[in-house]
Amino acid sequence: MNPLRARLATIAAAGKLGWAMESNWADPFLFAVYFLVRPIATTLILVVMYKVVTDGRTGTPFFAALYIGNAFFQYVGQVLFGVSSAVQEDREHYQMLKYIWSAPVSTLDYLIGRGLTKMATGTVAVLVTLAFGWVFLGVSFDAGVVRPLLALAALALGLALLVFLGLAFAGIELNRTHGQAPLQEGAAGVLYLCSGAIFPPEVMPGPLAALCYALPTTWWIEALRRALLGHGWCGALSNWSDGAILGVLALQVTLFAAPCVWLYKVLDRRARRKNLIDWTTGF
Amino acid sequence: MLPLVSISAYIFVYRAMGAPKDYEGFVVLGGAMTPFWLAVLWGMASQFYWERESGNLELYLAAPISRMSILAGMAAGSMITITTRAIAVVALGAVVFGVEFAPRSWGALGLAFVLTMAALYCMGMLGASLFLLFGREAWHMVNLFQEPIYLVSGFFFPVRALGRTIALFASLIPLTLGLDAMRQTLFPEGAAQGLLPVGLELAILAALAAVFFLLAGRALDYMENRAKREGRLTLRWQ
Repeated sequence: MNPLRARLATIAAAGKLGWAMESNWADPFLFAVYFLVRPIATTLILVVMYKVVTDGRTGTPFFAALYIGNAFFQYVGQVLFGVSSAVQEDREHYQMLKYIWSAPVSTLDYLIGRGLTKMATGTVAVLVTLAFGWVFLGVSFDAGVVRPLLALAALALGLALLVFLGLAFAGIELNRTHGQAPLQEGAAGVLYLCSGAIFPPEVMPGPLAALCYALPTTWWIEALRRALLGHGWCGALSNWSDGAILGVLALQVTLFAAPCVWLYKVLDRRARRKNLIDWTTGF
Repeated sequence: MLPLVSISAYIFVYRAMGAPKDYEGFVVLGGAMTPFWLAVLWGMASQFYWERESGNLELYLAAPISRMSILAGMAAGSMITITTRAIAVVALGAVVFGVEFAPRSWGALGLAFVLTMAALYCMGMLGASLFLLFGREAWHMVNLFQEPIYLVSGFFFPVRALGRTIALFASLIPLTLGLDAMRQTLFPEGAAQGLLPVGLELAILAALAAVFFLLAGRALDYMENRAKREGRLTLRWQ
């Protein structure tokens, strides 16, 4: 088998395994309920918060922008932390990481494959959330405003970014136990806070707003918002064209890719050297 | 700072909407109570599931002690760290976001907290009996009971906003009434948007604690016997 086909086969097998682990614990009905309830509940928290303050006026540009940002932010939890939590899941819970790591496959490809599963489940969650907003909450997607190519380009770049970041986090996870400082919770909190996902960055104090614009997730969500609603809500980007925002996002993804892969490889080597691949702590 | 970071986004959302300052207090209070719910889910309801996965459950069940005392002991241990975290969230919320907590009655506030914890942890014990029968779905069930419960219990907004019927149904989860009572006691806006009078909420919480306690004892015995009959007590990775 040529190297490329071998790598693709690893990614596909890991994706299939990830899907089995995600889905085969319940009958399809219960799984569907589980799958739909969580994203909708997460979204409804914000919806009720909004309604209680504004007396239920959901047909505003602010609400649409908030809704879109929150919907797509679900990818962060699914993909970024899905890739890294696969390490803990496989090592501690199923205790099979050592077999995968000793198999003649690229562990990088294996984790990317697991990330693809999360990408697929995340896509369903995002679509369900968008459909829910469209049907029940009056979040309208005007055909004359929606730009599918911009949306697809932004989505692809954003997902690539999340996979690369996920690999870096996976490397860190290889070297720490589940019980140590809640890395994922902290990172998720910081990204949710500083990505302009559910409020414009300008609401925050100056240094934090500046941090928002340094994070690629802000540019990613802003590009998606423009693609689907025709407008963004990041004040500092209001004079930037869609192409410029996409260009900056592409540049950020490129800048993040190599260091993330490098970090994963360094941390993977460290974990192997320190015999952490079959480390179980009984958390 | 970490616990505060995760709820700061909701505070800034309220700021972006121009909500009254008390709403930021609702978020801080909800954020402070979140770890208690997570502890009940992960450290109590699903505790026996984790013990089974790690191979300890047989040892617990062979010991001549009450199952409820095992769970209560574990909960007591985790309460120290969780309470510290909750206090940190409240303190940081006051310092960083300028949230003002002005209890109308310290007695009512303390009673609301204690009764909420009692009812909540008894409910956790009841949940532990169910988890004895769960396989891998336990992990997913625990996940399922997070955000949806934050929603129906009104962790970050007055629960009355959900409508009285849903709110009363959600009152079966002690945190719903507990949070509402604490909100009413701590914030003027909370008092204006309360679900039920504080006294009535406290009485219901006391009743919930008693009912959950009695049910938990019976359910643990029943589920343990059933799990033994069905051979589930030592099953792992299923």
